[in-house]
Amino acid sequence: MTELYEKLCAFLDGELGEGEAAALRAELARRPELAARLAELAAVDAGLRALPAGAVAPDLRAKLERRIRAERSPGAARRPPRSRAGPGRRRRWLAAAVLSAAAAALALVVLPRLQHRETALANVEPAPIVEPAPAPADAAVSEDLPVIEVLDVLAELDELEGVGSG
Amino acid sequence: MVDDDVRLMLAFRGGDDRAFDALFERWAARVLRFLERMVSEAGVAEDLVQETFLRVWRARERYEPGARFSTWLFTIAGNAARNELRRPFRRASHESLDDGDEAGAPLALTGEDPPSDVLVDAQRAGQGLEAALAELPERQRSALWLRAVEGLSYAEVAEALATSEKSVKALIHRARVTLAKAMGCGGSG
Repeated sequence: MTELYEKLCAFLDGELGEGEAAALRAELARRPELAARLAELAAVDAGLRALPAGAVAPDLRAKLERRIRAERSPGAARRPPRSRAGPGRRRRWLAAAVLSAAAAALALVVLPRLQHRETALANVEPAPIVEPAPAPADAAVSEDLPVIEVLDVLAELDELEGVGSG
Repeated sequence: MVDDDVRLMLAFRGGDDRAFDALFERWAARVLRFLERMVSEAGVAEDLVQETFLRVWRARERYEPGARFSTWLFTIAGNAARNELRRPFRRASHESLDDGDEAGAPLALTGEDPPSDVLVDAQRAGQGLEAALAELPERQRSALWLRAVEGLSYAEVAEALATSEKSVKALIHRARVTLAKAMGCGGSG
């Protein structure tokens, strides 16, 4: 039966050869129930064609133009080429980067302070209070850098999360 | 014979940007209508229209008129829609990405339930039809839409869906039968 009704569809779509189409036409004339099925299938197509169409937003062409211009202009900000790594691998890589950066921050910022504290506790005599000399600008940068890297990586992770769920 | 759209695309390939404007004017609404049915969200469909035409723009230098322009365009639009539907956070609302066995189990046409009203009013049934269309597996939906609304031949639909004409025939048949049931017809198969 299915084959016969597939043939009805093909007939409806003008996809039958002339011989087959003529044979089916004859069968349709003999079998009103078959003709009724054909009418049902045709009604589906009519229904689909009658479905409302959304209007193209007036600014859609302008939006497209902006994207084209961005690709066209030399030096335009382009998306970085997509990594072959899937999102899972990229996420694992980012997680590893975050952990590494956090470890580096810990090593550079926290450990020297702990060491300094232990040294101070070991001293029986209180050290004279001395105004600390201003740290060289480089030192400040080198202490902050790992933290900044961690924040950057976290921001990137957030961004990826946003893309994935958008 | 080269159709007007192919002529425009060739002009665009040759550097005539107005030809691209003309193609957008001619096709954007139809591509939007197709994409709205593919992704069921107007905003996303609009984004995908942009994406489709951006891909056309990018492909202009490689364009070779091997098929009707519409077949090529809907192939691009369909691919953009499928990419969207495959995004993991969408899958819950579009569960049927593939049809498994395309021919599938035959839908029984018993003839026990003659159509209550063959001359069903397509407009009145539109809402139910829209919902039933959204529930169809993506490939059935694409195949039927491209054939019934866009008038692509089975060979062209097969090209757009990267499948065989035999599969297209089965996909379209199953889609029509399901929708006929949804429209309150007897449910033939």
